[in-house]
Amino acid sequence: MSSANEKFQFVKIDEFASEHISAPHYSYWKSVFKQFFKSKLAIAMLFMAVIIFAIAMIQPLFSNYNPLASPDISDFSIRFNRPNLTYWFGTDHWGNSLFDAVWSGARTSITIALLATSINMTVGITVGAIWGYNKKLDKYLLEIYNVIANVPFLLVALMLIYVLGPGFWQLIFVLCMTEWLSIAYFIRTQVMIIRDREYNLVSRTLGTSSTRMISRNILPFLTSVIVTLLSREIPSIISTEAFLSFLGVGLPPSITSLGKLISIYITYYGTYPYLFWIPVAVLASVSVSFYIVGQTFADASDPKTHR
Amino acid sequence: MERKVILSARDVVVKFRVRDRVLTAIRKVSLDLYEGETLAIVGESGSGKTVLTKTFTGMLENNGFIAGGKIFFEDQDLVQIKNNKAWEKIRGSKIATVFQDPMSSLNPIRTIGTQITEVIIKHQKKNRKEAREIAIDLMDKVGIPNAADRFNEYPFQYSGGMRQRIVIAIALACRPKILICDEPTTALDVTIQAQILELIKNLQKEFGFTTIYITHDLGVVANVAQRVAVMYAGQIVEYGTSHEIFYSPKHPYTWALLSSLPQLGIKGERLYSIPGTPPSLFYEVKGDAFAQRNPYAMNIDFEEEPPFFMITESHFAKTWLLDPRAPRVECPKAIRDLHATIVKIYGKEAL
Amino acid sequence: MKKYILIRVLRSVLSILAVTSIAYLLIFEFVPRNRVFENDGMYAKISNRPDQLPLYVNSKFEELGYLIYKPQDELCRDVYGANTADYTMCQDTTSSLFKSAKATYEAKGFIFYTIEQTGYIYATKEIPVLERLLGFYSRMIVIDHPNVIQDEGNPNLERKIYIGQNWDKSSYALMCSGCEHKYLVYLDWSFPFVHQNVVSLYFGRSLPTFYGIPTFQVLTQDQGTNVLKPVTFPTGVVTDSGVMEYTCSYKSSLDSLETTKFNDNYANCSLNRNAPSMMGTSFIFGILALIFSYLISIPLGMYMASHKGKAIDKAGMAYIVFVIAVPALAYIYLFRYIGSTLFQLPESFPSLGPNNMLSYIMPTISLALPSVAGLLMWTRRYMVDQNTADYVKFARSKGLSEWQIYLKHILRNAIIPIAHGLPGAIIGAIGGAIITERIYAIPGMGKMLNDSIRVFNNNMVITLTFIFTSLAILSVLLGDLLITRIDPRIILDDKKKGKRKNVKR
Repeated sequence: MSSANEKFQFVKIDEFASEHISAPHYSYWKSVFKQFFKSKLAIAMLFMAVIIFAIAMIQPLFSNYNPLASPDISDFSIRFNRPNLTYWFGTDHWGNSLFDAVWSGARTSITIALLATSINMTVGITVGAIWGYNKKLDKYLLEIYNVIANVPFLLVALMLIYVLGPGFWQLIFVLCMTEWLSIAYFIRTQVMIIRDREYNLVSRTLGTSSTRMISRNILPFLTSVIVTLLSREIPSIISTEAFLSFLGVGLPPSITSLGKLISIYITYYGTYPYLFWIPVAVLASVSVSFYIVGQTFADASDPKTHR
Repeated sequence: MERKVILSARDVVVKFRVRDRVLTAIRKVSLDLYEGETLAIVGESGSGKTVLTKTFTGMLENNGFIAGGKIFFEDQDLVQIKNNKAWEKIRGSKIATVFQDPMSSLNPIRTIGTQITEVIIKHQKKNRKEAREIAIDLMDKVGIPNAADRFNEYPFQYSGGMRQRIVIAIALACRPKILICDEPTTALDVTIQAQILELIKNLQKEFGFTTIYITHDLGVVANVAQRVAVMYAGQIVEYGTSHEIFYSPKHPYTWALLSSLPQLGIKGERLYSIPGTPPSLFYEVKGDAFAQRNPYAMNIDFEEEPPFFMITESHFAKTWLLDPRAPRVECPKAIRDLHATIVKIYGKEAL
Repeated sequence: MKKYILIRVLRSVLSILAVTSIAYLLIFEFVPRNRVFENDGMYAKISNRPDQLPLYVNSKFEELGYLIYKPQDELCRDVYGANTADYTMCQDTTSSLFKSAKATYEAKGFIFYTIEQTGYIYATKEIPVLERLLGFYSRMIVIDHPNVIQDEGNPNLERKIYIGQNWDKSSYALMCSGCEHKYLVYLDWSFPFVHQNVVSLYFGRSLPTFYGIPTFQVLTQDQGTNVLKPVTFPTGVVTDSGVMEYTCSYKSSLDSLETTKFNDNYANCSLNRNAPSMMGTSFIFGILALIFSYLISIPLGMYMASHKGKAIDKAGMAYIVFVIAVPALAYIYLFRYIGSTLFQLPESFPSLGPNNMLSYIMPTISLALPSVAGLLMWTRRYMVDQNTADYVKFARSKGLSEWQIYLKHILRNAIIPIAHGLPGAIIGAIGGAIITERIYAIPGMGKMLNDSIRVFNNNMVITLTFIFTSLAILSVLLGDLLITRIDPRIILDDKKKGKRKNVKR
């Protein structure tokens, strides 16, 4: 029975082993990408976004598309060609290649969206972080917010562009003026939620400076929130830009955009439907691909999904 | 005198689906509940106390299910009940529950009165007027002053303690046989805790129901419970009368639990805390679940699951230390002095 | 509570004033004023007549409130009175009388110009923008009273308010003589049954579209073609006519045909038309869309919540993603296309007109699409939260049936998101109206805003900004007050105000 006695021998327990929680090695960014690439839809959309972005940025450099000119004003045979091998997307009422027009428009739309989004996000996050953190400031900014936020923002955008007149930078300005505040407000609310969590109270009682608190304790926590915002912001800007251009108030005649193409080609909605639907389809593809990629990335960057 | 068993659980196994994995929250638990007694289930968070009692009312979360065992109550096996209709006849009318947080247990936008009467109307088939009278009477019994006036008030107009009294009134409205109190005082402040416990005690004398307390506050246990079951990692590891559990505990986990009572702390010395964390319930536990953290662990604890050893007719513990082959172990000194300490803190009446 | 409501109302009024003022200042300061003439036929006609152009331009600027414009004869008349000898003398610009008049006006800050071709002299004085703004507000609310009409040609006009009968003696009304309108308060069978002409709003006149008509009137008067029906006129004449008696206002001189029909000077009547006004049209669509979106999204949101993770839930979520990600322009056209090809619904509102139900279907759906998405998301999330809330668990442990829990506990709480989503839906509908009305060519306020911006109809733009802003802000106020009524816990005070959800998204 020696084996039985052995069984009833005390063992020295390894305290360290019992503290060990059975979790594998964890790396934040690795998990983010792992999680992201789990979604087949997201990969497809990322692929699409990259291709659209690349074509939109490169193709117009070679096409020499000019929205004000016709390649040959007297040649009627080049007008209204349906999509074919020479003109992939067909030609329009002036004989311009729709393929050139669409990518030139996409280039403008994407550029505007990216520029305006980056300005909005920078301003919005900075102001929002300070706003959420500073209780005194909150009182005043909230007053301002309550006045402005209740006004339909399309109306504000329309008003501003009306006052400023058409132009690329005017449009960017308008798209920034109307958006940053709602971003700042959103960030403010998130910051407030996180600010009052215990570990931040502890950090504050230990004398951590405000700038350090915002940059080290609060903002990193907002990564997924910010990516979510970003993924909504880009489609939102694209949509607004398209809408303003569609109404004919956004860009001057010399610059084209997807919204403008749609508003020009709406005349041929019944007779030459490809002229209308192709820009609409490209507009939708740009914004959907950006959105899905952004949302999936936002989900993936939330540590709670890393299992 | 042989006491009547009102509820009897046999080898209950509860599992949860979490994402694509399965977690075993309750591992073959058996338990008898005697009519009119007060049983306390103690254990640290995640030990399965709440999950176990939820099986008595069919209130497991959607991803949880009973994978085995039987629960006998009034000549039927509760495990077999599948449809909600049958559960509705048990919940509230036979087995009622009081949850931890009175702040959120009540619907914030309905009056206190309607929230009491709806359960009376449902189970006792009374009309609105009769239900109102019963409700006001109940509010009176749980100690709400001016009950008739406060009938039409909203929960936010009540204090936390008052709300918990209302929750108790609702739970007892249909004279249930069993009252499950899931940490009923944790969310309340200390002065009110004692009042609520006293209230439940008094109502129990009057109505004669059986109470199950779920708690990790051994102070509460000492105050109210006649029997105690200690749970660890989804199993009951020791059960007995409160006297036996407090004065001659046999399981090393019970020792550890009692040693970490703040009341036992000696000034200037570090308060005892149990090292390590409970085992992950995602994996099958081999041997004694507590072995990893047990300073008295033996080789066998890592290999074989211990059976229950009987100490007295009412006292059982699931540890190899009680095996005749095991070396004799004295329980820690702090626990041997527990009686004196408890009398000092809670007075002579406690236990 | 009363104090809170008062402060909240004041704050809303302040918001409206702030936004309108900013719009007013921006438009009148930054939009080049000459743009008004870009679409003006009259301007085009006389643009090569340098002797007439400045007079026309300045008279228009005066109408728009930019400046005070005094042509030579008006100048003389103001100083010396009409039809006096001095007035006639003054018309000679070399006379001393004119010179002294000129000096008086120069002292007031007027600048004098001479037209080379004719030697005609006129003076202008810029009105500072803040003064214009004050003037705008002081003229905004117009109250009709018996001393409004000051007609030199009719010095014996009676001035009284009385109760009288309408033309065919079928109903009584509060009437007036000396007011702008003949009928002050009257009853008829159209909503809201009791109507008034006492208080009206004035935002200036519409230029160049709807030439010279007050902007508010442009928005509120019926559209479409005139509908004729037998009318008994005050003189007893019965003929087929399109006039609406309750709209009649003062006219200083009647023509011969009018004198046979009217026995007083209130002969300036609007015509009875067969289509609702711009404001009416927009309201109809707004309300239809609101009802539609609630009818769809609240039950569907609940259904999604109770079938979380199932096919219906996934489909709903896909729809929400679709609306957020796809530009409004694209999906409205897509839905219009589906509606017209699959269900043969009209692609534009005027093709079947306002009196055909089919005209309303696609625009209403298009307008509701985004708010359905918003409300759906809200309701679903709310219901999911409620389903795991402690009080629902407790209700379940009481032995209530799922049905009872849904009906008595959750559904009653669901009115909170309903009230909560209301302002957002209204604001969304306003923004949406600008797009939808353009796409479906609906003659409403949204399309009007777009049209006005194209032709630089500044007064109209400001009027519409005011109306849209007021609607939005008042709907937020309404939503907040509604919530205080429903949820007994909320005694709203300043501290909680910031908790309202961001309505845009």
